[in-house]
Amino acid sequence: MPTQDLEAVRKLKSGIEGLDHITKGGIPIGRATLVAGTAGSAKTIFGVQFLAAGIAKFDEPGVFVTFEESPSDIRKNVKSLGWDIQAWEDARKWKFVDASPEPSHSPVSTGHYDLGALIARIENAVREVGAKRVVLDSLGAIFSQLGETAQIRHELFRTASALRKLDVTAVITAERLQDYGAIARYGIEEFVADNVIILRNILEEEKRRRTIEILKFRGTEHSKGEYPFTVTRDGIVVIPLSAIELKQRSSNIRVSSGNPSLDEMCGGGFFRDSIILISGATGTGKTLSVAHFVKGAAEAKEKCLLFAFEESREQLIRNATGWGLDYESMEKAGLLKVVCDYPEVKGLEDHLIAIKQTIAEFKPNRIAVDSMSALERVSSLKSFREFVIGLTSFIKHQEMTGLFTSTTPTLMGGTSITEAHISTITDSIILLRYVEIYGEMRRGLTVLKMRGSKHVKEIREFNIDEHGMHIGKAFRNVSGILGGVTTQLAQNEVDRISRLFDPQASEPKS
Amino acid sequence: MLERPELADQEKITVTPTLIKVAPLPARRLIGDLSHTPRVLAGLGITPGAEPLPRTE
Repeated sequence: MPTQDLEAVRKLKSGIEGLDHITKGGIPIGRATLVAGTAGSAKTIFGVQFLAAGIAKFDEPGVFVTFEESPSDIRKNVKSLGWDIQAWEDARKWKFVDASPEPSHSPVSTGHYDLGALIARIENAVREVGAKRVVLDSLGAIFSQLGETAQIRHELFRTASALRKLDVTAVITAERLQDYGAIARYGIEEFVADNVIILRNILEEEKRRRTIEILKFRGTEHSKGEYPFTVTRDGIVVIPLSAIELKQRSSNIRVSSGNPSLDEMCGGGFFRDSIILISGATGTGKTLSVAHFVKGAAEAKEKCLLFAFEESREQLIRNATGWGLDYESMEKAGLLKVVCDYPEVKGLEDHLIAIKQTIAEFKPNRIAVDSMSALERVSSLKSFREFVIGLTSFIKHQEMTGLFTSTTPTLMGGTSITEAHISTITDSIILLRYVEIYGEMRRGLTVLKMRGSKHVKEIREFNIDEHGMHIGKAFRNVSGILGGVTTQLAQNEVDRISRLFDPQASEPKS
Repeated sequence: MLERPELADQEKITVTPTLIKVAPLPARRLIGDLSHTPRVLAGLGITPGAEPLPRTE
């Protein structure tokens, strides 16, 4: 096959957010794409949005052929998504071809017939508005109107070939009975289309999870596998996870953590576009570290966005006041925005969209999430992982500093699911740990990882008082802190080990 | 149909040929080439050989 033919599959930008990313440029132009899904999988919204985005973003008129819902129902149902179909109809950008069933009676079949009338109406509508896009919603419904006969099957092929001649890009929706099973209900729909997209709405650990999969794009490439999507007030938003390129720029500019000793331990502060994870058991000072981070931003006249998933707004402000920080006046000065939300109020996909929207509105320099692990419990592991990847890559693209906290499940040491999933994505990891010494609980901090920079490797003790966190000296005679099983060493033993590695060190450091 | 597709839009016709009985009520819609006579008659509400129903004033 000559290369020209291979390149001949051009794509039309769908205008659906994220979809053009996973389709690698859009839907094949001039062809029919089948969008199959179970009841409630947002097929009709997909179809309406395909036309709406075409009109609103690219000034491409469209024809909507409806076999199920009446045009007035569709107009009404999508109004809440901000699509004013009536206005587009008046502007001759949108035309309905109403093939919805007459509720009063079903037709009597008296012999041979064809869908010539429907095809003529579609052709006429396309000519009338100069349509570039056509949606047929949903194809299988014609079987329930006219019966599933060989005649109708043949007629559907004729309709599809008529569409091809019209030089329009078509989206044909079809109903499926199961999320994993036959592509479409009547087993014919996939043959009238060149491309197949599948929408799923799966119940997973008591939560609904929507995914979109491009099953087949004849003659052109696309991303494979299922991608999560959600329906927001702007319609469908696809979250293209693995399609996110790892091309984030990195800078050498440092920002302050808000704590001079911690900055020193990190080799001069956090990098401006890095993700920092603070991990610790409950009460080790994670929220306090976030408060320092907020303070560091405010002192540098940078804007900080704080998402709190564990405490209410009042609680958070009161705690900050306890450490000498006034969140409310920072908010008034426009340097801080505190968003408190219960993790359970929505699914993770919706959390992600909400966070992105808030970032887009507030345009912060820094973002803190306290805590990331609170979000673990509202989803399956898979969605959580996708959420974390989606959020971190988004933050990095925005060149912001991100600080996440993670609560470890046990008091002494150990790791959480959050860490297992995001430790490779984060640039820095700071551990806060309880240290038990002779029956006394003390706190230790260490910089475990600091990508691209030198850092202090000691485990240092810190105290918390009304001015915040104070990092002191390293624990010299304790080992096993990170593992959670501490062993106290005698001072002379510590000295002996120190001398083993450094013959000059005759004096113990602590 | 091909000349005036807007009429098909008005009547929501998708199938050709279609015969619509508008009066007397009930309205009925017959699709196909009318080759199956018994169905055509049944569809139109005509019973072959039967006397027309006496009109009730």
